[in-house]
Amino acid sequence: MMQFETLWKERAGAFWKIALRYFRLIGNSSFLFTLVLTLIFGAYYYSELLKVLPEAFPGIAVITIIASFVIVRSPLRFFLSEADLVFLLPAERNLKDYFNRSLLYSFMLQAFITIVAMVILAPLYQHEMAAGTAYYVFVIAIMLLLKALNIFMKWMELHLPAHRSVAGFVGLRTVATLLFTYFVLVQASLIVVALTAIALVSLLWFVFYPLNRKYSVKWEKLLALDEKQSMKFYRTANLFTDVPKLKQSVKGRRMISSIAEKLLPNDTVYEKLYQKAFVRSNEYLGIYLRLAIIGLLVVVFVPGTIGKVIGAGLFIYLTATQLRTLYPHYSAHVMIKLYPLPEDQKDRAFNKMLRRLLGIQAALFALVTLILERDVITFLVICLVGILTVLFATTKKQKAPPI
Amino acid sequence: MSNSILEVNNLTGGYQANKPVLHDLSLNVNANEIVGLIGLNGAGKSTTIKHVLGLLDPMKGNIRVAGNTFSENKDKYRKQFSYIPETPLLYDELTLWEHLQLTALAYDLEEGWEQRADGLLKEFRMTNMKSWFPGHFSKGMRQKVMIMCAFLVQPSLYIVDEPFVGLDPIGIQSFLDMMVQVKEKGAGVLMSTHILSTAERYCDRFIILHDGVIVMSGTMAELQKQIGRKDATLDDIYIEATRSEK
Repeated sequence: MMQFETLWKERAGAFWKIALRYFRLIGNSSFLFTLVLTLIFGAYYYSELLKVLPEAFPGIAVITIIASFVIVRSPLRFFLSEADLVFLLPAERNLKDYFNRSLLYSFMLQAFITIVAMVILAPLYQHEMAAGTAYYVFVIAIMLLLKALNIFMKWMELHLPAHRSVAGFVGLRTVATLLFTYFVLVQASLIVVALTAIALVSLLWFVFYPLNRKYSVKWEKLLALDEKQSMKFYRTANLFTDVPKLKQSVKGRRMISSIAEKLLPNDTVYEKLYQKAFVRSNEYLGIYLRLAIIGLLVVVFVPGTIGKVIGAGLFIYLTATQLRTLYPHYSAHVMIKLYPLPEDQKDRAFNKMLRRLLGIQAALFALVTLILERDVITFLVICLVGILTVLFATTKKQKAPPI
Repeated sequence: MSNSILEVNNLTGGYQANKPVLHDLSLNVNANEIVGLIGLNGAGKSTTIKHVLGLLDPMKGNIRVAGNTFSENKDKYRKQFSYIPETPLLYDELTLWEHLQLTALAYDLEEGWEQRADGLLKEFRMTNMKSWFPGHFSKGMRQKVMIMCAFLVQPSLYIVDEPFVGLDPIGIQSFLDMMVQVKEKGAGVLMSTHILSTAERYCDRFIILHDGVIVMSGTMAELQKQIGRKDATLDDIYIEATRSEK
């Protein structure tokens, strides 16, 4: 007879053993250096930005939205495996402890993220309210309580059968969290806060809790959630090193795919393959767009030519390091090894696409500054630095992945 | 042997130098011929195929496809054959039609391949799935994609590894018909399979592999003569051949 109490510990332990190995690899990679640089850059301009923030800036609203987002988004982790559908399903009633541990674990992990987010928001809050550290610590404590509530609610939502939509439930707890966070942040009167708190608890008791009693555990939902999260972790780790466990998820993206066919190199076998992988698989496109947008924000909002130029160069380089994980995408594929293709086609195709993608990004940064600032010098400098960064990032020889 | 498309001469090979899997193997596939490669699990069929594909280097001996060895001219060598693997190997990011497109690009196919591709899609009843991704395909459909890509190339040699698993009966018949068709047009086929009754009906010659050595080879009549039973089926011969080897 297997012990269910130790099962959870074994599963979580096994995951963390792998995770720690990846963390070590991440720590050793050169990407970390770029990240630290970005952080310093970000921290400096964050404090600069606070100084020049206009009076009308809706700081509390921004904090409320960011904090609520972090709190409402409650991905739970169960460490289940597909085989459990066969082996553990009959023992569902004995698994209460197993699930409780999972909830506690998920809470601890996300409590940490919540605290980090709140600490980052602290200077903005002090700037807006000047409420003192003690009160802010109290705010953080309330946020953690809200987090715990949301974790419970999410767990109960997961019991919903396929034919009942979760949207209403997510909506309810989002609104409740937003309101409560807002009232606490603006130091609303005690009665308002107390009333909202009562509303929240009754929501949990009368709306969410019955789900738990009425419906059974939805194993496939839990599995999908687990899968999504571990893939997210591996995908992040994959930015630094080659992760063999990474399963591909493919999205058709018809529109973008046909645009990319015209925008990106599409003439050789590898050019076609890389282009399709970039658009359709994993998160490559997402990473590229996200970095382009953040980069754009930096270029737009950071004051001064030097800041803009450094920002542009940094984000182009960051994008290059991230996209380089696409290079070994097909190296385990046997069919491609059988095609009669020249040997250097792969490297040439990859570098060509990378140059095109980074070039588009650089052009975007430069053009937006030109339009907003109407400053030809800044435009030219960003162009120049952009070109140099693109060249620097793409002449590096592609590394073969470790086997 | 000028009309040999595939010629394997005294091949010794495998994964580790001190532990060869194949021992002094010689075989050939001629034009207008389907050769069945038969053997138990672990007999060395897949290793043989990997050597022929150029994925493994021979330790001894050589392999010629249409007269070329792999090391002499990789491109010319690779252009001569197409491969249908046992487990379908597809690109997750490409639709069915894009697989055919990519194949045409990789083998530098002449214009007109599109019509042939349409014909293949119709033959294997997959026209409606042209823009589907492999993620939505069953094992049999995935196998059909591999088969269509291989036939699209129209090479002089087909290397086929256990093609029947997962295919529906109509798919199997279409595949067999097309094999006979390309054979009659002058191609050679090397097919590894465990479905002996089908092999018996379609293959012109057989090579029975056991522990990395060819234990018997020849046409059905020759094999029957070798074991001294005129009415023996391929199953009988196969069991006889693998048992008599100590």
